[in-house]
Amino acid sequence: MRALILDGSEKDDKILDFVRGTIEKELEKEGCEFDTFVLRELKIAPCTGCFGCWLKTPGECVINDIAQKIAFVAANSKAYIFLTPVRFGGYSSELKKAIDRLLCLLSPFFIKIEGEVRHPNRYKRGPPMLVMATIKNHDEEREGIFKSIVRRNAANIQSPRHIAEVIPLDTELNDIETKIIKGLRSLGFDK
Amino acid sequence: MQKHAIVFVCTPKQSDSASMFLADLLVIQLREHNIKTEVIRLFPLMKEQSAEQKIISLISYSDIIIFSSPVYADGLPYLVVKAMEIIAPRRNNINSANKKRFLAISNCGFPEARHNELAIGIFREFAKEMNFKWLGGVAVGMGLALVTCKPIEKITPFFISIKRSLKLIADSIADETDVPDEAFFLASKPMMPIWLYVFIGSIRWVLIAIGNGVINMLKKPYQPYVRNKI
Repeated sequence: MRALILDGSEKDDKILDFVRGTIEKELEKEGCEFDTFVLRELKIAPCTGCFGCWLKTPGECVINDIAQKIAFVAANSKAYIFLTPVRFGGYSSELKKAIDRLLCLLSPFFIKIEGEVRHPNRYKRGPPMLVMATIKNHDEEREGIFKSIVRRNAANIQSPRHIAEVIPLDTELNDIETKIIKGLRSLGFDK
Repeated sequence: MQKHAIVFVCTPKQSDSASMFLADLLVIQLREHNIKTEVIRLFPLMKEQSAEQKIISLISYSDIIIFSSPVYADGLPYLVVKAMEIIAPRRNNINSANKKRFLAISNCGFPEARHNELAIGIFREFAKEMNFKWLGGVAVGMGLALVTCKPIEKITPFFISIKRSLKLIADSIADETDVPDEAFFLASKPMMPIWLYVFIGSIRWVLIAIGNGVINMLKKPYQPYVRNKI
């Protein structure tokens, strides 16, 4: 089992650094392989909305940068793990910049999923998703938007299951560790 | 005193943009009410070195702030989030003698307008953080149909509801009253049956791809590889 880790944290984010370190340690313990991309350290061009990955070079973005490698790894991973601070209820810009460029993994055609028209996954079903996010203060509305985004993103890739954990910044590290282990188990990394 | 509105068009596209189409349509209505309206494309602006300063100053002298954006992966495009991350911590630098009003227009390429709900939720949270008065979020589906409408004056019957919606919104902005629910309802109304939109959309994709010399649109370029070859 191999996982893709997209770290959308900002510099000096001690909590998300701890989360990533703990996830990597736990995966190593279970003998699982993973590819980590610390997005703030990578030069990724924004998606230009050109649909070139559907209409010119199907399945591949027309912009040649590290985001192509991320898409390649994503297409071959058995789990997605995303890390981000909650920004206005959504992902951080760092994580969003990578996610926008994964459009190439979807087909341009339409299907109905959960009663809504969407684009089917180009590669069978997507893998399970674990999204761990930090939030400054507990905020029900923002957390609700955030969890809905994760749920919809999981539906977009036809992921069989997803977990969205929102961690207030004053959470004890022990409790965060417990949430991480629980999340990884839900993805199936303890098997 | 004449009111000022700033409209940020949040699409990375240079042309054929539904976000631009909707912004232009609203601007026509606002100018009819003698509201001084400026349209700024956010993406080129964000590439400028003084982007942060410019955005703050544009917002500072505006009474009404409008963002017209597409939906990317159920949220806002990367550079829109980036812009909001830059602006929010500097909210104290914004001249706020009067409470500024904020309107979000969100469009998506799917037939159902409800795909815009979370993007609008993100805009609402941003407005809250900025202490703007939230006028509401206009959700428009079938965005691909809008990009074919050029020039803007030649509006087809498909877009009558959207035009009426934006007129109601402009009227409310001018009168400083709440935007009626009818405006949001009209904007979200499907322009055509869903099956027809999906059919035309699929045919359109195929024709463009063929024009680009593409034979297999469902190609899986990353599938033949196995993990240990990476």
